[in-house]
Amino acid sequence: MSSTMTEPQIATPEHTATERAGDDLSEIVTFAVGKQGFCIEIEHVLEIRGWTKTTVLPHAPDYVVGLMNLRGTVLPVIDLSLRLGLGKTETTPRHVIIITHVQDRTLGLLVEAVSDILSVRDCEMKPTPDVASPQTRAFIRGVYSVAESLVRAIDVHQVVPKADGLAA
Amino acid sequence: MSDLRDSFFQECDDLMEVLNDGLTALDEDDCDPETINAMFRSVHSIKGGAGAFGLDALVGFSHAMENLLDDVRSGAIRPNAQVTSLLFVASDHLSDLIDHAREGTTADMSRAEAILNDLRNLSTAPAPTVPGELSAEEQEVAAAFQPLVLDLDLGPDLGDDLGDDPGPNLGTDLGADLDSAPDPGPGGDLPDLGPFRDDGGPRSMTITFSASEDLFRTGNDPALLFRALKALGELSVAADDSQLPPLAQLDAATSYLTWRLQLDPAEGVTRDTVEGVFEFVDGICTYDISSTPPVVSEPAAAVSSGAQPPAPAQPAPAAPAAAPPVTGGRASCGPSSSRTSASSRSTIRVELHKVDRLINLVGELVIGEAMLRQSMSEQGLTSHGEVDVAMGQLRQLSGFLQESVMTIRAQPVRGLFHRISRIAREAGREAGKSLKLVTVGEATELDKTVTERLTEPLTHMVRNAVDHGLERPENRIEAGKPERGTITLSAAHRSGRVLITLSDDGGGIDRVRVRRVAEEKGLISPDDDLSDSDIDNLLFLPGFSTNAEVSKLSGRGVGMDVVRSEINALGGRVSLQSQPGEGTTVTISLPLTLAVLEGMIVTVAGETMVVPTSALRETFRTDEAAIHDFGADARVLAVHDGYVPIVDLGAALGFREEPDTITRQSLLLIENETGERTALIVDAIRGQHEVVIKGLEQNYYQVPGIAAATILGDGNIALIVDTDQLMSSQPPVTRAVADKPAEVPFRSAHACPAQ
Repeated sequence: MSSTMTEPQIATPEHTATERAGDDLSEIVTFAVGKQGFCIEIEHVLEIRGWTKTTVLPHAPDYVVGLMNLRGTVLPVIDLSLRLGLGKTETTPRHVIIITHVQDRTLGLLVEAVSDILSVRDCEMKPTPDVASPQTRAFIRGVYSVAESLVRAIDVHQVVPKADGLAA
Repeated sequence: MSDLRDSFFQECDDLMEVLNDGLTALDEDDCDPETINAMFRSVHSIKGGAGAFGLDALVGFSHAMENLLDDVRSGAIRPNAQVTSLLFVASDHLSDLIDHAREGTTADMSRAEAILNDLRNLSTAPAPTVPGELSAEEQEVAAAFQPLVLDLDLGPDLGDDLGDDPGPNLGTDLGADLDSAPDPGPGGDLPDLGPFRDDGGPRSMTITFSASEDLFRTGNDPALLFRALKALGELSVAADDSQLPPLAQLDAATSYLTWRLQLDPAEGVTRDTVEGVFEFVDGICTYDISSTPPVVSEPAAAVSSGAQPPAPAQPAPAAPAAAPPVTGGRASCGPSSSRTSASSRSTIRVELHKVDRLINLVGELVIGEAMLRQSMSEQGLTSHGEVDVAMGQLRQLSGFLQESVMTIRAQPVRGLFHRISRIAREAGREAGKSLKLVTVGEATELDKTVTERLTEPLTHMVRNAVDHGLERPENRIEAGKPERGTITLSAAHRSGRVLITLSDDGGGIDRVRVRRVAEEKGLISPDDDLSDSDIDNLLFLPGFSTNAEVSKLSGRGVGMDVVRSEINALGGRVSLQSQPGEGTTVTISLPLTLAVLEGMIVTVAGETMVVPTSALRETFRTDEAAIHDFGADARVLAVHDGYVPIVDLGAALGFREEPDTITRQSLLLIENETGERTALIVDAIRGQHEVVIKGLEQNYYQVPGIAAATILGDGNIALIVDTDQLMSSQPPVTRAVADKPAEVPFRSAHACPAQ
């Protein structure tokens, strides 16, 4: 999946409506992982849930925390901090799971806290600075400057566990 | 259009089922006229639909078949064994033709010709004017129909037959002048009534007719009906287009027209005959027949048409049923009996995913109810009488709801059995063995998915039974058995599972030969001590085939192990019993549904897991079981007939290190289909439950050693252990049978299955 994917290509019907109304405005959900600010496009977000105990999956990569039950749907939860190379999350009841829908799969992203929903213009996104570590860079599409803080735009397609990454 | 096509083919499946049911009944010497009528109607409907879609091959073939059935129906031909077997062959071919038409491929016409010739030779219908060209052009089809038109004048009974059969009236002479009559033109007013007789003969009839969408959807055409009527006497037709909306509001799929027909019946034509014309469209059109004395015909017609406004949605039966026949003396097929059979099976077609969604939701409801109950008991609320009663009701209702929803997916195994009996017939023909397939318990219901996936293993099994099971006819006579072999296919519910058995009355398994072949193939060693059932089970080993010549039917050496693995995948088990000289029985035991699984809930390393009870043989407590260390880090469990390796479930799934000592834990003795056993160490057994299966692949990937997940009553997720996979990933297991050399052919057979 290309990391330079632009809004119109992944536009859902609802999103097309916003586009027509507001040029190239898109909405992002910002959240904190390992004290840093990140965001993903709102059309990938289904809902936001408090942390619940997950069921450990055998033979899974370390960043797959386990399985959770979302009203009868069994879905994997990913420790975004570990996935981004920021260390394992020690979960507390204050942690949050963002339920996302990517590539026809539903999965949970474990994050510290959800901060805001913002409207940004696509042209405001700046390229990922060279300084970032290679592991983090692989998951970042670019960055936004929001109220003097840096928000890293996550490429959700990259954080999905890949079949070949699983222990056989 | 493709929707219509789809529904035509779906209907063909149903009609073929009726036809097959009838043939089976006929084979058992049940010559109920209604059975034959039902068969005739099925073939006729297939012909009608096929005609609408221009499927000429299908039209031609079904027409020839219809002729023969018509003769059987009228009593001109006795349904003897020859006729029945020809009809079986023909119905198999008809089903092939339908399949070909569905996929848009061309059928093998040479075979059709042979069957067609047989059909024609048997049928008493006069030879077609263009012999041998039935399946070709439409004109020729029409020409072939002509003899029936001529039959018309021969007497009331034949006229009756014609009435049941609007198709054949495509007679060239009659059709020509009527072609334009049913067109939805600006007809309007009722024209003058035809000439009437004042000699007290047949009375003039006024028929009001309006068609529902279903009439067109099923490939019927009012024009054909009118032509059939035209053949019965002087007919004038007028279309009433007053219901026709403006073009902009016109729905192309809706029928807006009503026709008023004035029939001056010919000599010998009764009201019954006229009703007969509508037999095939009964329920999908509205018609009213009023007999009018010639003198007052005009006002009566007006009254009749006024009283019967076009109401396509309303089924018609009431009107004709209320009016008693003017004269009696109909042939064996009364219209009233056919009407009841047509309306008795009322079904709707629903997309499978909608049903699955409903099943899922109900599953959630049941889980939600269990969660509510649990949290209420934690809060100490259950002691309140009213709450308790309401909760009890909720629980009962959700249980009922789940049960009923599950039955939606369940379907009778009838269709599957028909397919298998066809395969048995073909296999018998190819092998030169005469056989009879008896089916028992066709109404037994089974999950649709299970039914579909049973076709292949059952095909293997029935071919094996024909090829290896039944002896050659001469050998059968020698053994004092009837020449015709019997294969029995039965289905039954047994303690929450479905048992499907296939038994033959053949020679049974030749154990000496099986053993010799197994030794030759290195599957067993000559000094292995094997019981009879051990030898029988060798048949399930991959790569085993006793038939010296590889036959067309079976004997590729993949049959029975494929059967076993397919059935395993469905959560079922296969077993085999054989009695030398008396036959072999293969039994398949299947879960009722794939959505629910009976499992043992256990805890391992703090995780809750489910072990399917289908694989579970016994449970032990570690402090009471005979456990022996074996080598550096292995242990075995002594069971009554040997030793089985012990595997720590937590360690096998990577939850913990292999424990040094086993204390106060439980052992689950599990067995896979090939009889390999392993004892699993779990920390505690919590009980046996039915769990709803949730696949992992939808949002994640397949996990080694895990079959699926489920949601427990407390809302937590528990993983369901894939015992077979867990065992195959363990080091080779010591087995009584086939331990040493068996592994090599086993692996290679898996690597390259059937060519």
